[in-house]
Amino acid sequence: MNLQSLPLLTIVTFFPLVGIFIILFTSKQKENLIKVTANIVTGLTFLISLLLPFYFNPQAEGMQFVEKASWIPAIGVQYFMGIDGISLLLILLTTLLTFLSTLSSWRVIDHRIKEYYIFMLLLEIGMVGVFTSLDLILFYVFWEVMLVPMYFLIGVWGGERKLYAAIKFFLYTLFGSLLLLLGILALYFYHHAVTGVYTFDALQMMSDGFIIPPKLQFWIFLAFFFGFAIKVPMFPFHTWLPDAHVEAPTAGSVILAGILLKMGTYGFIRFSLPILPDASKQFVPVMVVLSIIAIIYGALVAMMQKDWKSLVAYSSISHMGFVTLGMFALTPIGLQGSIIQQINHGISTGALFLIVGIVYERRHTRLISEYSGLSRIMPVYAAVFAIMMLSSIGLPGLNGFIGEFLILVGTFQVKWWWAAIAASGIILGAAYMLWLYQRVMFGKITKEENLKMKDLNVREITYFLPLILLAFWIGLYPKPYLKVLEKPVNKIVQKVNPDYFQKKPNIIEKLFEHQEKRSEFPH
Amino acid sequence: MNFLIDLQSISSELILSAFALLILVISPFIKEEKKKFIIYLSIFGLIASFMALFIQPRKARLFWETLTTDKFSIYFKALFLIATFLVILISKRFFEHEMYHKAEYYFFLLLTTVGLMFMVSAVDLISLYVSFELMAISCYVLAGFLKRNLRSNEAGMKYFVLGAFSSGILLFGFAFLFGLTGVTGYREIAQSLANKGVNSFLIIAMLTLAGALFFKIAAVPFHMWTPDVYEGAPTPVTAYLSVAPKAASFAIFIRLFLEVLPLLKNEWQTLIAWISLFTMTYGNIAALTQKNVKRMFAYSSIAHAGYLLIGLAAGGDFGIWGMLYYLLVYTFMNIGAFGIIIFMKKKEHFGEEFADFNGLAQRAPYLSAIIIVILLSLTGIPPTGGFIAKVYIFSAAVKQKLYWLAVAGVLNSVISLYYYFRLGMAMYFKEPESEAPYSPSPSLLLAISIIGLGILLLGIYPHPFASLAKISALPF
Repeated sequence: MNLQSLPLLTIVTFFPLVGIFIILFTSKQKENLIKVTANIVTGLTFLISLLLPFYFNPQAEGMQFVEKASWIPAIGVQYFMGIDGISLLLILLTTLLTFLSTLSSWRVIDHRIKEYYIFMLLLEIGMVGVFTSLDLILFYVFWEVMLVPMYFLIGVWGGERKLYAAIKFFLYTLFGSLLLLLGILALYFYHHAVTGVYTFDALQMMSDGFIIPPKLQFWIFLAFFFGFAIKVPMFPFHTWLPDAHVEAPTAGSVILAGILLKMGTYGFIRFSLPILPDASKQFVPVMVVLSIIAIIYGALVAMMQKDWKSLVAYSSISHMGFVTLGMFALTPIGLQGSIIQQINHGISTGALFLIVGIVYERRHTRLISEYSGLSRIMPVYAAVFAIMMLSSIGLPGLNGFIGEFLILVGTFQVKWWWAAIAASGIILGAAYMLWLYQRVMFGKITKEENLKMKDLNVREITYFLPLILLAFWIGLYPKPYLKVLEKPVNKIVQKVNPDYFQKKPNIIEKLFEHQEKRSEFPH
Repeated sequence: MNFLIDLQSISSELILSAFALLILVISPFIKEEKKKFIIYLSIFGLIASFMALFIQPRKARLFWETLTTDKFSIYFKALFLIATFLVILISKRFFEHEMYHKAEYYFFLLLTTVGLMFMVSAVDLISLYVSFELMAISCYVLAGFLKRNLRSNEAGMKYFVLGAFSSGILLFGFAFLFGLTGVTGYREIAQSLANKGVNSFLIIAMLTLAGALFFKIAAVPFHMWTPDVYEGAPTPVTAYLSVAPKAASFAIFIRLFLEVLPLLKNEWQTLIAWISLFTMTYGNIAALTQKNVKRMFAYSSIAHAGYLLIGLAAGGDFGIWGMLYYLLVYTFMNIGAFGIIIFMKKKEHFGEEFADFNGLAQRAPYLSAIIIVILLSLTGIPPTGGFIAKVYIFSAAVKQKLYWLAVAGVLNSVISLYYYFRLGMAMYFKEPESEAPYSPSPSLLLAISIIGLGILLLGIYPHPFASLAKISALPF
């Protein structure tokens, strides 16, 4: 059978529906059957999505696996899916993390199991859909669809303040996304006014022939900005995140941090930059300042947290600051770093939330002061935590380093002092992470209860293993990842910052040139 | 024979009137335990009437230019028939619990529908007024139908007094139009006005007409009656009042203002834009603080009138067409919203508190899922019809560069999420008071399933309905 003739993206996106239907018609009492079904379905979704990189051609320009059909012809909405290297990586991250977090929920979720797994699978559809759709309305539909299951995941299976956290998350993101919708509509009517065609096709919007006047670009960018920045979340819009993260169940936090936040940054990269190049450039100072504030502020607040989970939540804000900083450097290196860092953040922060979840499951508290000396009773756990912590800090040899390094290089090419300030965020990051590790892992065991805690079991090791492998893979041999990103990233920079490719060689390249010249002289 | 064609053109209305009268005549001869027969009869009447819509000519002027049948009116007639059908399905259980299940109820319901159907086909002030009153008087009776219930009595009385007042205002506006032109047909009035140009009397006429219609669609500042009437009236009647007469009033708004008063288009569009802003903002903010679910939905339907007015304020093809689509979705979701209250009703117990919904998700998962779909649609979140409808309405505003109104609509949608999902929160996040599984009556379950599926269909595969709305909006 020729796999390329199959609508692979549609299958990956909607495969969880199979699981939803099976679970819907399974009796509530058959808990194990429901769990097994959900795990198999998410696992299969991941396996199917693994087909994508095999058939993906990193040399090809433009979108691949394209599927196009008319959906609401009256207003020109299409069912239009397609991916490039950027979406490919994010889809794989999504299917992997969904599978792992489903696996991690096996014992933690002990009530209303049927609903839980249905929401989980629904969430996966929404998330994968966001990364595959190229029609703005289709994108928007997935974007919103995914809000609802997340709201329920936080609200039903969350912590003490779950009601507040759930509605806050929902209100914030809905506000942003509706403004995004207005931006999309403005774009749509302008496109009609110029070309006479009613379409929501994102590729049409970013084609070279279609130029939007700067003033309109400014307003549309602003509308998009609210939609995406709230999701990322960028500095003044971040307040929903600690609440949602801390109150959500472990799997919810993993997905929230690992994937949902990436949708905001993905939105900037996929739509804001190439469709609105002039406004993007205009907004660079604002975005950079907000990113730097997020890096420093997130790190400082993380340092002060007493709650283990909210420490990780605030560290997310700091890390996402790096992602947006690299993106708005508008250089290919910065942008590549930004995307790699998104993947890294998904891996390391996802893992850190799972790590918190492990002790929470055993002790039902997240206060850092409740734990100490865990490394003696849980050596495997301590090792996993150490690797993931170091990956989050950005130790060379692990994934975090590659992302942060590329971002700093990309930023440095534009303004050296942006990179300088941002680098101080890395130091702060090392400080709070190492301090956390020291407090919970070393020292004497002060609490009686901690003595009885069990080390990781096989299921738990199973879901950490892929994350650890990925952390090393990206850290040691990032080439395959950078290779799929090369074409799309260059295309975006070409569109948004064409000067980059014509400009005189920048500082670093000059440096290398200099060395080369020197080496020409015989010693 | 011209007269035969005329009769063919109002065949739906005739069939429905005949069934209404038949129900009235035979009801004394039907035993209490065979009341179901009346329901079947009225449903059969609705279906027959619906079928007859297909033989109505798509473009004709009848009865000496007083009525018309066009795609626009047929779209609305179909809408009313669907609404009435759904309302009948949710009525049975309610009135049984109230111990007041009377055949007259179905008579008045069908009669109101006949009035509505004539309303949307009227192209003459006199025929409009007569059908308007047929609808209004039947509605007053329906609102006060539970004659032993104090709340229902209050609702009927309030509705009657204020409704009569607004009809007076409407007549006042008609009088001005007639005085200015000396004719009563829409087309003739428009022609005569076009020759005469704008004068201050015309502006008074426009304002009074708008005022009377604002009353009917419950727009701020003419909304005062709505919460009380909607809360007090029997719940199925509330569902009906919040949907069918409102849709008809919007239809009249479109026809009257666009056909008769194009001269003042800028003026009335500005007026409506502001009214729309106030209406949705007021409705949403007032709904935030409600403790009674029914009253909350009453305020929410005020807010929806506000969103609908955006379409009218923006006008253009997207605006009118968006309104038609919105009204279709609105019919489903609002009947659904009031329908779910009936689910909670027990004897001697209204079932209108948020606490009544606590933990429903664990007792009735299927029903809760449908309620969530309805709530999502009311908020305007995909993949529901409410989302597509809102996209149309906001598109119209963006297209006409009414950005401020579109932004206001967006902010309002966010507010509405908060109170709609207080219900969702009660159902999913709170623990149930009793573990007993919940078993609703079959007709209610059928109605709510149709509504849920309809809303999803309108959201996932809107194409056929959207093009239907588009064709129907074409004359304007």
